[in-house]
Amino acid sequence: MLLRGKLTIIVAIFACSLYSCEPKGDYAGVEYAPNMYHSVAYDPYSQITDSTDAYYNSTPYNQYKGKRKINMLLPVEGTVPRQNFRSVTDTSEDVRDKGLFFYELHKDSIDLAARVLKNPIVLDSAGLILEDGKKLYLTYCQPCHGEKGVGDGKVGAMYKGVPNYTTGRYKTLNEGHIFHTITNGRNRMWGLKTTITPEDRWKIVHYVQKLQKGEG
Amino acid sequence: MSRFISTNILPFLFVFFFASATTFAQQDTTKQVDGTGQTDGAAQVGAAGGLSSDAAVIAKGLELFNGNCKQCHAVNEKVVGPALAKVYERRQLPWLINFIKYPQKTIESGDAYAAALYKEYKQFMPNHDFLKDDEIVSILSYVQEETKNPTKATTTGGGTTATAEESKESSSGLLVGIVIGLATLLVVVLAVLAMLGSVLTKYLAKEKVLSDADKAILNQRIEWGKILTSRGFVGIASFVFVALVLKVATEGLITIGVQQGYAPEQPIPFSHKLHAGQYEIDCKYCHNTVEKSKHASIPGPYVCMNCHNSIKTTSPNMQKIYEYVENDEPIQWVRVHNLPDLAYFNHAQHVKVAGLDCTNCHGDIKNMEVVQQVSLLTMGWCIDCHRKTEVNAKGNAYYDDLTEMHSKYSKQPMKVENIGGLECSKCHY
Repeated sequence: MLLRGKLTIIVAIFACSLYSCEPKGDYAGVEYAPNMYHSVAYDPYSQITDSTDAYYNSTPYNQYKGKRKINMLLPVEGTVPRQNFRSVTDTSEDVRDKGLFFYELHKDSIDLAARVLKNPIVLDSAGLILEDGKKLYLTYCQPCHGEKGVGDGKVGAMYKGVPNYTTGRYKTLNEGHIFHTITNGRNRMWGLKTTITPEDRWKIVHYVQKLQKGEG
Repeated sequence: MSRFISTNILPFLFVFFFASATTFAQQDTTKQVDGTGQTDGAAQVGAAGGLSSDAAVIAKGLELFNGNCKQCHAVNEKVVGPALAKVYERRQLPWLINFIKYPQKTIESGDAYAAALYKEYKQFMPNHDFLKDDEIVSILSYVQEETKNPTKATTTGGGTTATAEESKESSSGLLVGIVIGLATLLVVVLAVLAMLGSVLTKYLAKEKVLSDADKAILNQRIEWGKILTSRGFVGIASFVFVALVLKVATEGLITIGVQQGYAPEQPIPFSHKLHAGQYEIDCKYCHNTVEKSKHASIPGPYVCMNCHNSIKTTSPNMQKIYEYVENDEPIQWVRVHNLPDLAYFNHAQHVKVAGLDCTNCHGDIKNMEVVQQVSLLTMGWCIDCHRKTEVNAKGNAYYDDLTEMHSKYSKQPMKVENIGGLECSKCHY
């Protein structure tokens, strides 16, 4: 009887201590076998820079602009992202250099872009390209430019100065102009070249051209 | 003479004001511009005479204004370009028409007023030469109407969510009310029963002749000590106690290694409720690699800046972002969803190929001020979904052969488990 009583008390204390294992707010909770939970190799978004931490995974030898312990490094100088190889302006064989060339277009060369850039992505009869373009448009452009391109997006209302694609001068802007604008921005708008791949940008161009005609 | 002075001094005044106060308050500019208009004298420079107050013209003007001007101009507020209130008093109609049609040309022609505008706003307004003269007049008529009788600014968002919350609160309040009502009813019934009992025993005590059974009732005493030490009571109490302890213990044990409910504070209190909820920005706008990579990327400051180059630029939290950029350091967001390293998970496979919505696993992010982990992220939770979910094979040639083979042997739809969704090595290797 006495033994059972003691046992109950021990179990009760154990249970109460377990109660505090629950994750809440800043506390992530207790981990079982944490050495299987934390990556030994570098893993995105899980760098631990505190060297007293048990799962410290930063090499002190990595340097980035004079700062130590940063696992993120810049690509080797002269590296070209693979995605750019697909951003070609015509379908001939030796397009690689041309494709790269247009990435050297300066931010201010919008008139040149409007003159020379041609959409390398040909619309298909099933409308899959346009469908992709629409999806991308709704993700990246709609917050400001609105669903139909009339500049009535909810963020646009705060940002101000969002044009209406379907009227006036904006109706007449060509594909090169639109592509260059998405890439580098224009007036108040900032460029999205770091976020959207060239291929996706050209798909958006197709959809924007549809919106210009008011066929949203 | 006075005319000469005003036209020559005006640009300098403009430049002076601009240089002295780079952070122009919106009202200040309007006042400033109003003042200059008045020095010129409305009768001399104003174009008000040529404008119409006809409702049809104003309606047409409103439509044209919304289509062509609203992006950069408001009537009573400085937006990208100047506030247009009383513009018809500041300049004459031919000047306005010419400027609206060819702003850059007018500025470069050496027109002092136009040049001053360019100096202040630092960008050319695009040509509007596609507008006819009478259309411009109707726009200006609308501006005149709006100057005199400004319409109230429309409130955006907020309202609907507030009412939803209120209704939620009121429904939970109703529930509490019902419980309290039932509890009081119970207390009243108990009190009535106790009173009845005492009244009846008092009545018995007054009686002279009592049977044995009645005497027994009268002499009844509740012996608490005996009850507490009785076998039955001890048995029930220890059973309840052990059951409770076991329940707490198992619940506690289950939470080990499960971070459901983890909601860490972030270095910058970014609100998903505001961005994804109120402003309806798509998740992919910021987490843009979710369809291409194993990871749904956490955006760098350049994504924030796409909007925050103009919105809330002076907020203290924006200052924190500027600091990170200036120091060339990554913002150290705290990772919320920590899938153990022993399991493999790929966002692209689930979002792009399977076409799953983010909310399937991440919950109602649109209403979270601070993001927290709502799903268990345990193996059982993964497998449960793999057993229930049909493969999104439509339009995906990769699955053609698999679908064909599956339909040969089974009439059931092809679930993830049928194509190896439960195999150990799919996720553990």
